[in-house]
Amino acid sequence: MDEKVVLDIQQVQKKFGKFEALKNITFQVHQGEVFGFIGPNGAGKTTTIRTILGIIQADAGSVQLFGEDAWKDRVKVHQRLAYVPGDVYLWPNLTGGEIIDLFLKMNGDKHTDRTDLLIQKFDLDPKKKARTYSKGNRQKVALIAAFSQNADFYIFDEPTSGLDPLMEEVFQEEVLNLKNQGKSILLSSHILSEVERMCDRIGIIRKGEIIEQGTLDDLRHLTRTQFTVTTKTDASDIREIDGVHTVKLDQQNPKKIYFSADTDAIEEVMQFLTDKVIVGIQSTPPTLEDLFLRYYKQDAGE
Amino acid sequence: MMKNKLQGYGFLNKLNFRRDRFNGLIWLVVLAGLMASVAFKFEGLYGTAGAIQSIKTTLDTAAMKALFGAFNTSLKTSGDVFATEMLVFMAIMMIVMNIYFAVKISRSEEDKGLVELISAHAIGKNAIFAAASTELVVLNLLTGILFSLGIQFSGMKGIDANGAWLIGISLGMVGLLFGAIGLLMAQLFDNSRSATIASYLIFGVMYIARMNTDVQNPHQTWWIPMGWIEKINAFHQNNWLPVIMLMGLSLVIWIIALWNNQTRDIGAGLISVHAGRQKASWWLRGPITLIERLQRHSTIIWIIGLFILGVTYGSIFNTIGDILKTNPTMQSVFGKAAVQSANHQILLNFISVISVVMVTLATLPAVLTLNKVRSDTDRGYLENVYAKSVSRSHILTSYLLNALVVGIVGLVASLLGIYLAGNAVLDHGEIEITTYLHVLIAFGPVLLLTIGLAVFLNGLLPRWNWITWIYLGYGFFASYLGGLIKLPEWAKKLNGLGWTHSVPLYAVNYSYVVVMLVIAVILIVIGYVGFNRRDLN
Repeated sequence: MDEKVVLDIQQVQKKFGKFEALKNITFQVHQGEVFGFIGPNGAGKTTTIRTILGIIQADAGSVQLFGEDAWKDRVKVHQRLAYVPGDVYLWPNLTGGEIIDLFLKMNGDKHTDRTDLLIQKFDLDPKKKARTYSKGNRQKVALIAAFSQNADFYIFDEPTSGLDPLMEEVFQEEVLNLKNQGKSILLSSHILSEVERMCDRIGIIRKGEIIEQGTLDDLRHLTRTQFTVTTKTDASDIREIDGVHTVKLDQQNPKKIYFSADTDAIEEVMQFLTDKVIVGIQSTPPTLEDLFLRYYKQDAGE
Repeated sequence: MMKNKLQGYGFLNKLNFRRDRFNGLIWLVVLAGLMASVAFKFEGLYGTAGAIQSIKTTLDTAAMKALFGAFNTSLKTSGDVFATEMLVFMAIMMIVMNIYFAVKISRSEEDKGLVELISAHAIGKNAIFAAASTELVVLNLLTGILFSLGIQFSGMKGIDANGAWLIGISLGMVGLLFGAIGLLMAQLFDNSRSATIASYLIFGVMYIARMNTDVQNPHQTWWIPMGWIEKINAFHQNNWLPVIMLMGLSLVIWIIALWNNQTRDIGAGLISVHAGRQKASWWLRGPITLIERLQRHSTIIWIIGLFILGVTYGSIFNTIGDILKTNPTMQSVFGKAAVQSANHQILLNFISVISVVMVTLATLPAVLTLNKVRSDTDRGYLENVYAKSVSRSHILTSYLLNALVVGIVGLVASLLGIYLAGNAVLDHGEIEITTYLHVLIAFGPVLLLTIGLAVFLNGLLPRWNWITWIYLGYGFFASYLGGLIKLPEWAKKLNGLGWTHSVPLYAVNYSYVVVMLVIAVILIVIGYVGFNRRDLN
């Protein structure tokens, strides 16, 4: 952790009336990393981002960007920041090209060759009035403006929800490009495969709280691996082992069992199975989706 | 087939009435309450023959005809005075309400993308338009009925049920006509702002046209739909023909609107804007020029419109400033000099009354601009701007500056119009430019005060920013109608317009001017502090 901390959020709380939108948000984004921010709808992702942007003020806790207060010094920190909201709304009477330039000028940047390149890459017609744009096209306008901005920290709030797969790829390419330049990125997303592919670290938010964060490997450690095993002798006693869950026998072949095991229990499981003589074994590491669903289901089960 | 096209109509009605219940109720209560309270007051004001006689002389002047309409009803009872002098003012109120609702429930919904969302469900092709039309009909009918009941039970002398319902329903029909016009404009233009401006332009042209015909030849007013209401002759002949004509014309316009609605795509309009620039111009570089650019068309239209209205008022100065028309014996009794001086006084008085209209109209676009701070935030247009390296004061200033420009330049343009046209038609006793400068000094602070209130509310309590409209509407009512209904002095003084001291008839009271300016500045400062400190959502 000797890299520079770009974003530092400590115990942030925010209430809207009686509703506690953010109960306890703590995480950091370091220089040169892509931080994935995932959670179900209404968990507080956008509220957190709006706090970072100084659009709303946290009731308690602190939000610091580049070591300065995100609320008090917002004009100063915004100089080094680029943002693409989840729902992009643009003035209907302006063209996409005009809006891109305007966004750039407001932060003292200029329309460069790179802007033209991005317009081309994202396949946007900048002469059209914003009212004629689809959701995807409006998102492209905001993305082009953000990517051609010379910022140090980029915030994307579900940026690909309106893009087609081709454009999604362009987006991922550009994000990796930024990362290689040592820029920091906060990516809030629903598309877990995207987060899995691009993010160095991940934070999961649920009901206004960060419930888990770390690298994907760290998080995988917290969850279970799926096994399908066929053995010579009956291995159904495996359910006695602590850390083994959801054991099921195959209906046709009682020697074939399915189960999931906590990472800590794997050693014991392997020893047990070896005694029963393994004929076939398949193991699947948990995907981000499993992780997410596990937390999500916990949430629903409460 | 027909049923299919209207599928979901009932559901949409429920949705619309739910959505507009608060708004609609306020309009209904304010308008009906206004009508009823004036009606109840009238017997006290004009219950005696003497009182009627004295108001009659005033109403016979061209100035009053320009403002309140021309009637050939003989004024004998309080009911007669009410049935004539209230019509034009209440028609204006109905028109404003209908343009607001007609555009709001059609084009604004489309601008927000809600129509697209609804159309995606099992909703018939005509159901949305039909539900919007129904809402307007219900709104106008309810208002009309409440008006009628208010008049019927007011206790004024000389009234009957037939006449009371005639007044109420005809006002409802004037409203409906402009509801239909608003709906049509919402089909022709592809954004709510243009649709509103176009509707107001039509209203403005009709108002000016009827003012001219009323002053010069009241019979010609039959050519102007807005003027039909002056022809109902309530409590006497009780002429229902104007009501039928208004209904017919509304229906025709509504059918054209419906036809347009069916043949066009969602989100599109007949008059739409072609492709634009690939890059931003040098000018478009920050919040201030952004808002200027967005408001440019409407700013220009308002300024030109106010200038034209000024010219129109000015062009009747020779008729108004000619007391001999209404009082032919005066010259032989008092001599020429006295007549000219009296004429001059009448003109100055007229200027002070129409300045109320002008400053109110100039305030409208200014408040519209300022209230966009909230709607642009709500619609998410500003989300990206808030994340830029631009201070909130800078953003608020961009709206304030544009509001100030359209308000002040609009007011100056209207006064300039009056000055130029007035002096062009006057043979003698031209009115000097300094007179208008005094008007500007007295009325300008009223404009700034209202702008200050709008900044205060949008900065501190954005949910309550509609209060500015109530304040402005009340001021207009108290000043335009206050004299006629003998509103007490304190009630007039609740609004800045009550502190203008009838300039140019009397001298400018500079202490009032300074106090209003100071209050305006304080409101603006509080608004800025609030805007910088609050959450933006």
